[in-house]
Amino acid sequence: MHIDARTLDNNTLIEGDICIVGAGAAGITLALQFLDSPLKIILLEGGGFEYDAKMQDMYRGRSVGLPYYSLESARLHYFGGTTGHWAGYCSEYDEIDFRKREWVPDSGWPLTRNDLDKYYKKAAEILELQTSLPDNRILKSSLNFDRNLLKDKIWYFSPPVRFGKKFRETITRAPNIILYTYANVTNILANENITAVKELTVRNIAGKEHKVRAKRIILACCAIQNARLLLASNSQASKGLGNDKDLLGRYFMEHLEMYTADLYLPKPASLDLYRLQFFYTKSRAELALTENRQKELGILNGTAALDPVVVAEENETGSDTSSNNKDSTEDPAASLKGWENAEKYYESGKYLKEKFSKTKQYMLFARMEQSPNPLSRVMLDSEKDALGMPRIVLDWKLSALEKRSYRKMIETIGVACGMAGTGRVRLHEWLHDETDNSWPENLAGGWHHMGTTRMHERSDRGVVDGNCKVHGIENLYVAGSSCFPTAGSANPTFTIVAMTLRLADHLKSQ
Amino acid sequence: MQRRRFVLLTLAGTAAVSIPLSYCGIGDETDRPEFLHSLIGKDKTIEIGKAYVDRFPAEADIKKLTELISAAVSDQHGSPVNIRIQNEFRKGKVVIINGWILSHTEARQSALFYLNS
Repeated sequence: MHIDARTLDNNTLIEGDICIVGAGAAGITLALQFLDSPLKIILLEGGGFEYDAKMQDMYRGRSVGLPYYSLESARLHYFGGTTGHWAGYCSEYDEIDFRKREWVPDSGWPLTRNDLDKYYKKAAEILELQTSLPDNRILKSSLNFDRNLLKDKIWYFSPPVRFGKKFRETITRAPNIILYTYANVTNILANENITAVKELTVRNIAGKEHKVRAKRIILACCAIQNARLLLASNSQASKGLGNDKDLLGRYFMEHLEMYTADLYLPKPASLDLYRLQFFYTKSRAELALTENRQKELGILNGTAALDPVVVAEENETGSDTSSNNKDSTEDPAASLKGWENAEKYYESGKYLKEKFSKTKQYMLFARMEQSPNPLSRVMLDSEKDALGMPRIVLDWKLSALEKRSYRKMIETIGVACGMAGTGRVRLHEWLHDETDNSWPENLAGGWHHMGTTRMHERSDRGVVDGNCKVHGIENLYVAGSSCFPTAGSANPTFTIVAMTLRLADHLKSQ
Repeated sequence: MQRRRFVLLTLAGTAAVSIPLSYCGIGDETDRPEFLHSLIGKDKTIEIGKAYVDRFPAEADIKKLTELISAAVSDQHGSPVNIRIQNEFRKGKVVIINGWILSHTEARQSALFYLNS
């Protein structure tokens, strides 16, 4: 069932068993797990079914740390959330991503990779991934580097699934799920002892305010908005709900995604295993360091894609966090339009013909996890949005470890190339000086937001526990990448969906 | 001409080297980094060589470089140059010059190539 909250009488009381706040990848995945359940599910979405500039403006915020994309463009505020413009990159997090690593401060998850395996399998179905390995012909193009140093990490590509389009009918026809659009939660009110959530306040741009009561509440608004809502719910707890230990909003993390080096081969090769054709390729490999090598070097986890130079040079003029690309990074509507145009272009097959030829020179497009850093954080601003919610200030910070990890990862690839006689690698200039910990102007992230409500079994180390429940509040949960204690080696959506499925199992078991 | 010059210098500078050069295979393939040169061409190889000499001025001498390369060769009992270089990568005898991740021998070969150019 669907109800536009703007059409409700003012001060309507909405009641149910489970209330999910936010209808993006996590919120919709969670709601779907309760289809045909006897439980009454309330799904609250701040926006509508289509892009709406007024709603998108709620996500506007300021950046005071390292240069970052416009926050208004980084997430989409409508049914389906940011899956409306994601690229479909998926890969499981590695075992090492979940482990405590002595050389990575605040690393370690309260679960293992093994705990997520069955959920990854189900998440792959939701995201329409073909998780079988590439065929033998493609596998034969593996560079076969020393396996003590490098491995081929396989990535899968979602079509990409746009949750808003794919699941709208299922959700709105479900008898036990009531989707409310234009229902922005602006406050979470707890009981007197602040041990449980009593009710939520919902507002919309029609000037109406409603109350929502449910036995269990799950925040699934995205990493920045989850933290924002909890920080802004400060009428009873001055630092915000679930923030007794001043951890809320901290440990904001991104994946760095930058061109790092050139690979020169002795003769032209297509390296099919490593190549990507948007909207055609189902899976491919990227080069990654083995766990032992990461440990030996004391570095973070990451992967390197091989882009033919002709493709890389086009991409290099694309997104970065500087203000040079205003159309794509500062205007969310332009960003959406850009994706639509890209899909048409790629579907034409022109790209395949032009760019999939053999070449002698590749660029290494490397992804690197950011280490957990309490100083990298989101905070509330004094400025408020149209609904009276304080806007967000992002203070994105990186450490020397990220830069050193990048350099050491590429050096290892260079050494592996030399050992195998495959070719030679040249680091890009911004990585030449190993004593320089600064970042270049084209510093770029993956548009991935993680870590603002980090997960830890101990309440003095995390905002949520191993089951994503907010410490100290018995009926309040958080879904999505805000719970990730570390950023992991891959893009987050696959793991967000897998973790949400795990949360659903937990909620069902209660 | 440069190749011949390298061979002569090598012969002149190896009186103290116990392993015969013919056994090492030096003299006909090590006066420039063949593999690297085939990848990036003459000009870039010379750039690397110049950068190496700038960074290690004590080695900015044809005779000295020839000796150092010869010594590296003699350590490896006459295996082909490309194998020697691969072994250097394996053993961590790596140097980064202008961002290029190279074996020490091929970096020195580039320097020699630069000085001979």
